[in-house]
Amino acid sequence: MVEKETLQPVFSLPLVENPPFKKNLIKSAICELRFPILTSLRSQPAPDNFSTALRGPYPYYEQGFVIAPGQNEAELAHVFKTRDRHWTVSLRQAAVSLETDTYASFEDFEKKLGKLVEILLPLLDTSFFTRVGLRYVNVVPMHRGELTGWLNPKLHGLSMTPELGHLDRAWSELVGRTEIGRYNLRWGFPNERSHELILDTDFYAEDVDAENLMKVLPKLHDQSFALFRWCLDNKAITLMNGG
Amino acid sequence: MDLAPTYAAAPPYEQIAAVVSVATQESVHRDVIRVSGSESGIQVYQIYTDTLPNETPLFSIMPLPATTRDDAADDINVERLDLLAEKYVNDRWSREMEARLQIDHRKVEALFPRVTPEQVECLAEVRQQFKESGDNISQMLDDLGIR
Repeated sequence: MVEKETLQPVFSLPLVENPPFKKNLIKSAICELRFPILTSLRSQPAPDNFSTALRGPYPYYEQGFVIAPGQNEAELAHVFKTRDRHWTVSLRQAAVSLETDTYASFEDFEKKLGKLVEILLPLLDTSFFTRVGLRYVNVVPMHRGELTGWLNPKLHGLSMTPELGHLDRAWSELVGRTEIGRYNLRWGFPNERSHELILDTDFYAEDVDAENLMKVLPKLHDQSFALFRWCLDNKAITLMNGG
Repeated sequence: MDLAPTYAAAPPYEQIAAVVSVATQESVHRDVIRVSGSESGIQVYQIYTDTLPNETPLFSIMPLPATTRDDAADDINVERLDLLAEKYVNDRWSREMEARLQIDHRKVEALFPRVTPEQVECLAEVRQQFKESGDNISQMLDDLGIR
């Protein structure tokens, strides 16, 4: 019997070509792989086998404690960084993420992730990931009240309602389904000090075989770019083309 | 379905509310309190920064690898107990914990199968002996003309 859930309509924006823009708006690109928990990663500092494997490409090490939403206790994160500190690997007991603030292209990011997985997979003692997420946090350099021309009018929402007065915070979020998982889109001005628009896309798939990871990732990227492109209007595209 | 967002080490649109530096004997610890500007809650970062040495220290303490089947099973069982304790005592459970528990179960089963290869071999020998005995009896009956 087909579950009712599978009959729900899914994300169907047409995929679009990803031309080489002169400038991208990505402030942070993150790929997170969740795996069957490894209790050894609760130790401080990181277990020797992980440190040894990562110290070449990621020589800087930090420890952080993260309180995730819905949790009562802080979770230890082992954070490894490249020499230029622009690439970060964050290792928690059930997840590893690769993050950069100097995103150049998906191919470049994918290559870096592939190498990381090659290093870590033998240590993670798993042949699958429970969740694979690809998230892009974009910053659109525009002022409040100038949404027209920058953002798809469907996303303007209440921000363009003068009767509501000045909004200290205007933040929207939606969660939807895709053929292979779900996505999350958040956009707006998260607090009164933020003068630039944040556009945060997060696509993910669940229960991914490690051998299929590099096939799933481009799909997440393509869908993510399709949504990103749909969110933007002409002024943003002109800016990205160097105009 | 887990709806938590893809984790970012440094949440990109959160404000650093306070940075406190505390000098200790050997290193500097910085407590960075990030206050979320979104709905993702408050994150407290206690960051210890260090550069990894290029070589493994001469006298570093390395855990010895499990050398026997019993040692390996002991390690796995300790992990299973940890996970089950969290489940029943702390009432905390996730797909990642469930997945690890299943992997651990299967590892223990592989290390200590309910029927060992030796037992299977032994059964095969007994079976062969039965078959040979049956053949002998048949032959005897034929020889005596009873059948």
